[in-house]
Parts: sequence; C-alpha cells; structure tokens
Amino acid sequence: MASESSSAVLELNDADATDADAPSVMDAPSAADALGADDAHATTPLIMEHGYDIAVKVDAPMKQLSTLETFVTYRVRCVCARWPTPPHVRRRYNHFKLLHRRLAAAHPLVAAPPLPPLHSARQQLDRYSPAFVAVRCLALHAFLESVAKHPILTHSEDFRLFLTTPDDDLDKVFKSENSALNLWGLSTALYGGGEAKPANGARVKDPEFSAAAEYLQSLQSKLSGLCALSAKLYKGSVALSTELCGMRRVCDAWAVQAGGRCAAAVAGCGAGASAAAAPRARAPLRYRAALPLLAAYAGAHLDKIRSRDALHAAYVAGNNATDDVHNRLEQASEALRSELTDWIPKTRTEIRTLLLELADRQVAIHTQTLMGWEHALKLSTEDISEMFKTVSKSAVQNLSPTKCRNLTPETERDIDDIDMENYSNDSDIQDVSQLDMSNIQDDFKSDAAEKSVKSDLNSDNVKSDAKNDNSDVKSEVNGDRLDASDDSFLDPLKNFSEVDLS
Amino acid sequence: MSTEDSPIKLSRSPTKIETVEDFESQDTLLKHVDISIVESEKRANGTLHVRDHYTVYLIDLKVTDPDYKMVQSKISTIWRRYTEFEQIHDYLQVTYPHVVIPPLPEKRVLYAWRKSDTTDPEFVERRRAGLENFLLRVASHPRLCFDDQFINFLQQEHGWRETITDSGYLLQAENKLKSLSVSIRLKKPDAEIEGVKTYGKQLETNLGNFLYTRSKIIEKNYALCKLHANYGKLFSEWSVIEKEMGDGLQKAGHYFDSIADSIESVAEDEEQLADQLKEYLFYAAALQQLCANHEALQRALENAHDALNNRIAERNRAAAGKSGLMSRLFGTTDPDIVRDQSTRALDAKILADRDNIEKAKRDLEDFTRKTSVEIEYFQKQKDKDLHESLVGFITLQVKAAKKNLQAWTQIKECLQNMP
Repeated sequence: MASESSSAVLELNDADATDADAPSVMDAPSAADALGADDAHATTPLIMEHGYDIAVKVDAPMKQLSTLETFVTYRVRCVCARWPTPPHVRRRYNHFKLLHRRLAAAHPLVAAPPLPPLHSARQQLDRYSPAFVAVRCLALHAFLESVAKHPILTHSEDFRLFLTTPDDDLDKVFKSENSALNLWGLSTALYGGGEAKPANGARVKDPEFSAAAEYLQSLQSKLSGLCALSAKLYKGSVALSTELCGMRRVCDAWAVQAGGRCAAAVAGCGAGASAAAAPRARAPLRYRAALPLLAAYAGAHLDKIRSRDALHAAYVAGNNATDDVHNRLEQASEALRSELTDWIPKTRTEIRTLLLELADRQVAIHTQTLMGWEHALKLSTEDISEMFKTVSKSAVQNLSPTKCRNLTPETERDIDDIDMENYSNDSDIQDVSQLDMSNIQDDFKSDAAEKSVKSDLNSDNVKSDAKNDNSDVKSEVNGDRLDASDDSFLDPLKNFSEVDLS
Repeated sequence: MSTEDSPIKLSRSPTKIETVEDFESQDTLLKHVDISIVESEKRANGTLHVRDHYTVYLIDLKVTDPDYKMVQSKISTIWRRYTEFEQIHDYLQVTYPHVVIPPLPEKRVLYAWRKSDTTDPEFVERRRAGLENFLLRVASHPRLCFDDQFINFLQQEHGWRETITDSGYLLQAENKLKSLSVSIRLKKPDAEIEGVKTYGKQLETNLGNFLYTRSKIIEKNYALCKLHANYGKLFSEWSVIEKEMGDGLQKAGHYFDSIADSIESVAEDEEQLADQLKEYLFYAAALQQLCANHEALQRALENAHDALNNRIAERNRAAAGKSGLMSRLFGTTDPDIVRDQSTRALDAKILADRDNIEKAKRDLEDFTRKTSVEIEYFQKQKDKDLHESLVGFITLQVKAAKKNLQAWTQIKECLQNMP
C-alpha cells in the first residue's frame, strides 16, 4: 500500500520529521479555517504516491476581490513528510510566476518546469470564463506537481516557502529577495556574462546532446501540434453535436405530423440523432492544460541544452580561465544528463496516458453514438406490418371478447377471460400502458420491436389488440411469463407504452 | 378538364379503377418491358463554350414479354437529355391533371454541402439514377404508362420534339398557369382535398427541414473526419523520431487515416438516400398541384352556378320589362315585343347555363373519383418508400458509427501496447 511504503520512506529520510498530520492519510478537511468557503469544495484525499514523500494539489479556483483588482486564486494543498504544512493556502497566478522565476534563478543548470502562459490580449476579455480558469488550474497543478517530483527542485527553499507561508505573509517573504537585478546577477555569475554569446565563436555541437536537442525540438512541435489538433477536433465535435440536435428537433416536429410507419421511422431518426449528440458535449480539459505544458517543458530543456552548448563553445573558443569554465561546463553537462535521463521516460509515460485518455473519450463517444443509432433502428423497423395492413374501423368493431377467447386456449387464462368482459371498447389507453410497465425492460432486448406512433389507425389497432393481448398482459402481470409464441401480439402494446413514457 | 379536351386521346381507356386494389392489379408497361438508363455522355452544340455542353442519357428498352406487340422493336436504345425529360413531364402534368405525376430529379443542385454544379460527374450519376427512377415510376402507373407520347419518348428517334410540341400541351400549360395564378378562394372548399393539400404542404416543409439539417450534419462530419488525416500525418512523423513508442504511433497513424477515408463512402451513400427523400419533396409539390387542379374544377362549377343565378335574375328583370338601361335611369318599362324577345333569348341562355353546370358537375365528380384512388395509392406508396428511405438512413448511420468505433478501439489498443 502506498501508505506503508511512504511511511517507510519517512523513517529513512528525515530524522526530524515532524508528523504534523499523519502524512499518508487523508488531508482532513476538518481543520477549521477562516476561509470557510473552502470547505464547500470537495476535498479528495491527498495521498502520496509510491516513492514520493510529498504530494501537492492545486484546485478550487475562486474569484477574490481586493481593493485594487479582482483576481482568481487557487487553493494549494500539500502533504509533506519534511515539514509541517498548513492544510491549504491560496495562491494566485502571480505567486506561481514568482516561484518559477526564483526557481529558475536558484538553479540555473536545471530546466524549471514551465508555467502556463500569461493571458494574451484577447484572452483578457474572458479571463474568468470557467473553461479557461479550469484549464489554468489544471496547468498550475501540473506545474507544481512536476516541481514537487523533481529530485532537485523539490528541496528548494523557495518551494517550501511557497507551500507553507500563510497567505498574508507570502508577499513579504517572496518579494523581499526579489529584485530583478539580483536574479540576473545570479544567472550570469554562473554562466559568465560576455562569453555567453557564441555567435562569433565556433559552434560546437556535442554529439551527446545534439541528438537529444533534435529529439526535444521535434517532440515539442509534435506536442503543440497534437494539442492544436485536439482542440480543433473538439470544436468540430461540438459543431456536429449542434447540428444533430437540430435534426432531432426537425424529426420531432415531423413525427407529430406524419402518420403510419413513416412517423415511426422519423421518430427513430430523431432519437438516434439526439443520442449521437449527447456525449460530444463535454469538454476534455486535461489535455488542453497538459499538452502545451509538456511542449513548453521540452522547450525549456532545449534551452538548457543550448546554454550548455554556448558554454561549451565559449570553452572551446576562449582561452581564459579554462579551469573555471571547464568546471562549469562539466556541471552543466552532468545536470543535463541526469535531467534528461529522468525526464524523457517520465514524459513518455505521461504522453501515453494523455493519448489514452483522448482515445478513451472518443471510444466512449462512438460507442454511445452506435448504441443510439441501433436503438433508433429498432424503433423504426417493424416486421409484422401485415397485421395492420387493412385494418379498418369496422374490423375493430367486429372484434369481440368471444373471439379473443379463441386465441388463448390455455386453461389458466380462464380467470383472465372473465376480466376481459369488463374490458370495454373504449378502455383508456393509459390502462394498457400501465399494465405494460413490466414489459418495458423487455422492449429494449426484444428483437422484433415495432413502433407505431400517434396515428389514429394505430390507436384503433391498439384498442382492438388490447382485447387480444389482455390475456397475455394480465398473465404477464400475474406470473411474469412471456408467451414466446404470442410475442408478435405483445409488441404493439409495448411500443405504445413507450409513447406514453416519452 | 374532360378527356375530350386533352390533346391526345388515351390510347386505351383503363378499366374502371375504383379502389387501390384495382389500381395495383392493372396492367402496366413495366410488366412487359424493362427500362433502364445505362449511361450518360457529354455533348456540345458545336461551340466549345462550357455553357453549350449538355449531357445526354441513354435509355435502354428491353421487351421481356415475348408476345407484347405495343412496342416497336425488341430492344431499343435512345439518347435523351434533361430538357426532353422536362417536356414529357410537363406534358403528363397537363394531360392527366387527376394523377400525381412522378417528379423529375432536381434541375439545380439543392441542399449542397460541397461545391458542386450540374456538370460534376457525381451529380450526373445521381441524375441518371433519378431519371431512371422517373421512367420506372411512370411506366408502373396504369394510367400514365400507355400514353402515346410517353411511348414515343421511349422510342421515337427523330422528330419527337416536333411531335410533342404539336400536341399543343405548351399552350394548355400556359393557360393553366394563368388561371391558377389567381389564388382560388372557394366558397365551399372540399374538406378532403383541403386536408390533402395541408398534408402536402406539411410534408414539403418537413422534408425540406430534414434535408437541410442532414446536409449540415454531413458537412460537419466530413470536416471532422478529414481532420483525422492531420492526426495521421502527425503521428507518422512522430513515430519516426521515437524509438519505443514508434511502432504504436505508426499503427495509430494508419487508423487515423482510415477514419479520414471512411467518410467518403458514407457521404456517397447518404447522398443517394437524400435523393430519395428529395423525390418525395417534389412529390409533395405534385400533390399540391393535384389539389389545385381539383380546386380549379370546383371553381369552374361555382362560376357556372353564379352565371346561372345571374342569368335568372337577368331574365326576371327582362320579364318584368326592366332590362334596359333606360328603365334603370328613367323607370320606364320596355314595350312588350322587346320584353318577349329578351326573355326568350335569356331563357335559351339559361338552358345553356344549366347544361354548363351539369357538365362542370360531371367533370368534378369524375375528377374526384379518379383522384381519390390516386391519392390513396400515393399515400400507401409514400408511406412505404419514406419508411424505407429513413430506415436506410439509420442503417447507414449505424454502419458509420460502427466503423468509427472500430477504428478508435484499434487506436486505443495500439496506444496501450506502447511501452
């Protein structure tokens, strides 16, 4: 179980682990906090995964108003073995941005996981739209999770500060060391200022990393391409769904006016169309968050490779202080190597999961569509049209209980026959349908389904056949026995009951 | 419009057709010959302008009944173009106003969802099928199939155009149009005919809506499926750079391509079904035409009645001696001679009027009798045909959904088998 292994990890790693909360157990929402609204959000238990001693989650976006501006905050929850954490904190996008910057500055050799992008000017218009906020929430979650799982970055001080500082103090803590000059100084110190321009020097392509660089580049383009395609696919799917709803409306209007078998077929069409439309409506969001991030991550790694190459070029071209540069070069190469070997397989798995999700969704859509249309087919085909071909009103009146009795030779139905005397010609259709409730389930399974909808001829038929079938129906209600041989008689009633239900 | 007025006398008057059963048991041309349109060809009027190109269709006639003497030769073929079909159709409309005339396939492309015009080979093929269907329907209708002009249409190589224009149907058609353009307001409309007319309008609207939404759906679906081709491309390119995932991606890419291709055949099949529905769209219009004809006859009867009433009133006035303008102005009465003369003249006219009424009544009854059978037969046919078409549509959707599902299941499998 995950809990056991992570507690084992606990003991090994941290001598001074303070079990503030039993970390591997649920993140109890009972901790009363000032922001009572957070309790309203569903809290899924935060469980650490196997092999990790930290778990983070970003969810529950909420709009907050301050005096100057309105913004969205996200609830960040963390469960960690290394330090005590408050049950949750609220962070906004800017905080995430700061964290990213500081991480990048503090660990220049390591590619920091990328953030979801800022708003473009157009998106400013709908920055509170639920879809956008949800996508961003997922993206931030992915970001924070990749930081948490990163072997180096997870121990960074900034990360800890980010997760543990209570909301009000966060600005002070984070902002205090955050002067742009400082950051720039740090990164340049590590990579050397002027020498970082390889344009003039020889372009050295280390074979070890050039293959990786190429791979990352194509991977990046593929991922962004995949994301764009999936977005288009979803949009196209929604458009199709709208049109299918339109067809359903048309079919319904037509079925009301048409008569006979035609109406049945039309109604079937409508049903099929609506069934096909329904499953496409939901928006898949995770891929929209995750794929661009992965692409950006690949890009970030690519950048690091390029920086390393620059350094290498400088090393090869320049003649100064070779030792220092060489050390730095080695550091960079080593960092990159470990990073890539770690990141690439994990990313592959993640891509695979995402693709499978997409495929699953499509499979679900098409399965539902297929079922809908098959049901429609059943609704509209009838195979005993002969029965109703030339029924006229006189034929209905000719039917009498005595004639019905002839059709039911079995003795146990005699009792039912007595009831049939009371079954008058103008019995309410409703009665029939109620009696048929028990047959509803069989409708969908029977192969010889037939549908006659809303035509006078058929209602007459039903009335007449009601007498025929009464015995069958009553036996159904009594003993739940399906008379297989008289299946054909049962069908019109079944489907007429469908009319009442729909 | 009685049979004496029609330009061509019916070659053989069908035996009394009282009910739908009689209808179905009647002899038709189709029981003795096989008709089909086998191919189409492009021809030009000499110039090479695109506008002067037209398509002709080859009608193939095979006599299956060895003893059938009506048709000239055993096997005959003839080339006809769409306008000639239109001519025979209009002729039939004028000559048999009590029959629901089978419609022609569309003249221009209706409910188009991709750019196409009447010269598209696909459209020509569909039109060929539609024209064949038209011929078969006419040939299976007991009242229409033995018409001389129709038989000539099927066989007469030369000079058919002259023959048909000689029949003067054009003039009749124009007259009819003029009379119908005045909206007919009857004093006592026939309830049944009104019902049929309303039904026809409803059917037209419903079918129109259905065809419109269908074209929208296939348009969106087509675009969506073609999108999958991009997926296929992406995946194949990607599989090149990946090592372990490569195989899975490649296979998935193939399935994506198959999705993109599968929509073509679905679109074609759906188009054929749409053509069947379009036929009934036009049929609904023909049904309304029939109702209009009936109304015209009713109108004629009402007019005749009105004429009679006016005449009687006039005669009474004449008998009272107040026929002239002078009497109205000055109140004088006519001298006896004038009175007698005018009265007698008017009496004669009254007799003529009464005859007119009788004739109009007979026409109307005749028409109504024939029409009711026609309408009943049409309803039966329509019910069956529409049901068939719609079931075909649903079946096609089922097939398409199955194909999609299969492809995506395969894709999922490929992805799952990736390391």
